[in-house]
Amino acid sequence: MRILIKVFLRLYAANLRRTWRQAQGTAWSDAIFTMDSLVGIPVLSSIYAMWMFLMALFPTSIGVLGIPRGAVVVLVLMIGFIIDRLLTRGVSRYKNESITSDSYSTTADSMAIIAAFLISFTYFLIMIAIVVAIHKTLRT
Amino acid sequence: MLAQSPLPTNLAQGNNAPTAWEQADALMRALSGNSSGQDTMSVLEAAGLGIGAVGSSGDLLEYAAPGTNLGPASRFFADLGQSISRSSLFIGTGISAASALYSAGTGNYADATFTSIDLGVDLTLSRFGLYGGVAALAFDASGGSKNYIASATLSAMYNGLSTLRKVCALGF
Repeated sequence: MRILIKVFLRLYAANLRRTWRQAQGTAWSDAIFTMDSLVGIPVLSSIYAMWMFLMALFPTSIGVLGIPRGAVVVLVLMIGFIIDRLLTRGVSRYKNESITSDSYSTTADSMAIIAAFLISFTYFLIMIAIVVAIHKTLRT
Repeated sequence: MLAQSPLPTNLAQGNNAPTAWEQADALMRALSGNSSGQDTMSVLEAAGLGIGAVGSSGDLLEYAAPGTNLGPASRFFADLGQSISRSSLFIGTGISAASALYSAGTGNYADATFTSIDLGVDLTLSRFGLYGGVAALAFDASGGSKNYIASATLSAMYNGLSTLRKVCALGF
């Protein structure tokens, strides 16, 4: 959670420096949305890959359920709601800290944000590869 | 439509695994009205479109409410609009991820690859998410990996709406 908060505060400061929606309220809100995506995509893809694995492992029980598309939508909504609530609550105590557009403005801070995005997306790609591997294994 | 895997039934009938999976895939495609071997993703796209529409109403509320003469209520509606807008943008991203995973899990690798690239552009270079949306429109317009007009139209509408929302809400 400490790492997530560090990334969030750098995102918030970066939002304060941009030329649009840089007011404190919108910058804060957009930073939470960005964090939602950063955290939510790996969580969602992990659950999906795990479910595919369990379907392959237990074809006569979990496999019977399959992956209903409607359930995927419900899963996305549930994960989105839970992560957004947890993150909003987790970072709320930092709302009164004196963070300005000059805060966290070093190259290292910018690199930390880029690294967070890349790690999140790379993790997602790994999960996609695992899902494809499970699908191919089951077909051959 | 809730498409459940018929694999276990096929296995129980004594089919070997590859044949059972092929039959299961064929049945799932038939259930979803797609005989081409490519998944239409209609439920996820419809959900994405619905969430995009809800999010757009949130954007509208966020921008229009402060200009009304409703007193403290205008601030409340502006905050509500902002909350709806922010949540729906994230849910829309989640729907894209789910679409890519679903395509990967059903062997529709072209769709999975394209949706992953689009999501990657959105995540890593959010400023260029606009171009991802435009590319998705072009992909759908050219037929992409989908053969059904309704599905392609739905997908194009979703991507178009998402693109418009990125332009408006993220300040491009």
